[in-house]
Amino acid sequence: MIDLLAYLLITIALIFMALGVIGLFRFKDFYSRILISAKIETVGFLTIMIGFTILSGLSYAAMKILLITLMVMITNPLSTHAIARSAFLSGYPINQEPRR
Amino acid sequence: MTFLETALFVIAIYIALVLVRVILGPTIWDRLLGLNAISAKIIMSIVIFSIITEQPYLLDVALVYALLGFIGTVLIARFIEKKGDIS
Amino acid sequence: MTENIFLITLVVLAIIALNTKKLRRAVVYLGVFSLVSSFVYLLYGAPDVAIAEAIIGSTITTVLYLVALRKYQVFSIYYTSNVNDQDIKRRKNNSAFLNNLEAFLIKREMEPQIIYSTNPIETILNQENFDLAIHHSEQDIQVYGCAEDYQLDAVEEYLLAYHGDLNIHLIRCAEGADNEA
Repeated sequence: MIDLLAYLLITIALIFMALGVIGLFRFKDFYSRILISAKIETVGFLTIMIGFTILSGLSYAAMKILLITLMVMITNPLSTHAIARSAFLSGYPINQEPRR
Repeated sequence: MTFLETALFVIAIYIALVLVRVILGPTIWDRLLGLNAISAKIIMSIVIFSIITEQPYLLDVALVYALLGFIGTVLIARFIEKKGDIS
Repeated sequence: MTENIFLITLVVLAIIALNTKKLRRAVVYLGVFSLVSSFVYLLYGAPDVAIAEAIIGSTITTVLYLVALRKYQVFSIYYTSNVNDQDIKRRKNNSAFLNNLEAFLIKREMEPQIIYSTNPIETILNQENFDLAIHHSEQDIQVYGCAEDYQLDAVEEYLLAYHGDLNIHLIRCAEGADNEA
């Protein structure tokens, strides 16, 4: 029963990451792409890691997975921010995405 | 194929797709974005692999990656931003 | 099946990192290469090598390549002119401009390499690997540079400060042009 919940979470995370990959190709503007990467990827990572934690039960490994999740939750938005800041300060133009 | 092996396979396909963005990406920042996304996906793959093979000590590799991949990305980003001065 | 995807990824990345013309792109490609190769080590049952690859491949080599890239010094300048060489005064003025630019680049610890070309400027822009291409016509001097080059800002500042009287136009080519950074 609890395994089914973990599988459900992992499936949801895989769908999230599929949306992130599609968004990486669909948007023509760099800042839209970086938004997709920052938000969707982090949410997908969080969800899939909670799924793994449930799957591995109450053990030493589960604590390690939670520690990895905490690390990536801190570092992934930071590195995305560093990339966006570097692009903005180097003069990458901000284009409005045309309405369709 | 069990469920977790399928999940590992799907993540491998995602890595291959993001790699297309890394190769095509018009600017260097797109490539960096792809590097960041691939590093997150590799961490997931390491965790899945350690659960499949029931070797919990493999999680240490993922922990090292979570800390060090960040440093590499930030260094390259700052290098480009400052036009060559690392400081 | 999963292993095959990672192995093909490794081969593609290695070929692209070797064939790319801009060195900074090669640094990013090698970063991805070391990430994926670390996971492949893990797949074949070598977690200790994977940790070493994670530390060395993704951090230390990146820092080393970036420092080396910063010290990358040869700076090739293509010079074309359609000015009649009989005009002694203009020619003298001209060579002074080039000599000053050369001295400035040497001061910034680079090795300028001036190539006098007889081809028209369009051929050089399309075919050669240049850092600066200077076209000297009757009235003004046009300086072409790659927009991603980090030295170009300093060169522009210098040219405007010391040779503002020479009608210098600095033109930045798009990133798509295949110039070596």
